[in-house]
Amino acid sequence: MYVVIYEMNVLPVSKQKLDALCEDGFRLAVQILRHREDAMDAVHDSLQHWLDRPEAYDAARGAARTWFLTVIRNRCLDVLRRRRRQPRESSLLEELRVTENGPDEVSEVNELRTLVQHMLDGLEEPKKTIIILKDFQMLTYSEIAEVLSIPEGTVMSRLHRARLELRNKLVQHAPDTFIAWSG
Amino acid sequence: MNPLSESGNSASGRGVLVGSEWLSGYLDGELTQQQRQQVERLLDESPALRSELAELEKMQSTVKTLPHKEIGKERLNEMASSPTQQVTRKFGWVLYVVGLAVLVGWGVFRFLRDGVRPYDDEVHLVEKIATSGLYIGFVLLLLSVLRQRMNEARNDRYKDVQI
Repeated sequence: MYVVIYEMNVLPVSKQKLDALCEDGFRLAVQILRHREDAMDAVHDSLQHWLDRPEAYDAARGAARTWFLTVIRNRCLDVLRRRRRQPRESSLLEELRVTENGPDEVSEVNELRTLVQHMLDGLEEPKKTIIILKDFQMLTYSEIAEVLSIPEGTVMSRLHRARLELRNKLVQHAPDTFIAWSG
Repeated sequence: MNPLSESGNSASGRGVLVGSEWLSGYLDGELTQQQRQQVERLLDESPALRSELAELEKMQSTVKTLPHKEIGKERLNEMASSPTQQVTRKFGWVLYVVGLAVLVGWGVFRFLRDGVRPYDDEVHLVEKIATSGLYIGFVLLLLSVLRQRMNEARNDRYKDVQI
């Protein structure tokens, strides 16, 4: 069944590229939504949207990755708006664990990652997303401008403000860790 | 005190306006050569600036190494297999609409040609009315679905997503 799509040239990307796009989109959606199943749904809906309307993506205008991440982000914003209208019980929001090791093996690195992830989650959506797009997804400023639909000239200032806010949160909530970290 | 963010002037007091956001631009390799040289001069002069850059760099490297979840092959294949249903659904719709159009057209043609004969030995009036109702009902349902799809297509907020 998977092969049929490519034989019929439904989408202008290879199987490997499509897998990579979905994984990229999923990483972004998980960071925005902090819920694995919601992120899966966002990716699935975005893929469905593309397949329903393949003409929505124009290869002449730019990279498929940037376009797809834009769609994913918009879907995530829809989910966040729905959550505000119908708040979920906090227990249902999946605690996405940052630590890779077991609870008995929390290392300094994992502690730092946990702290950074927690502070990142506390940022407002536009600031969190711009940091994720740059430092996690490693997009260029030009690509970030496309995904967020903002002028390229404002990306640097917005990103810097977001980073400063993240740093200030780290200083405020874990000053000892921050001091040790920034050495 | 960060000379860039506080006064916009360089640490040496030369009065060069350099916004603090250029530190992020420098960190991300997004500055022009001239801007990069300007920032490097300021970094040479200011320990506070170097410290701030080091903090941003550390923060960035930590975000980069946050563990990321993967969808997994099975789920990827599942997502990709549903589009096949879309393709078969479209074929199904096309066949259904064409077949229905032929039947309805033929039925209307016969109805008009033969007129209403309530006591026709072949087809009773009740059967004619019921069959007509069935056809008309299908057409109405089809039109309502088509109208809904057209509305959705018109109001799709993503159709103008441009890159």
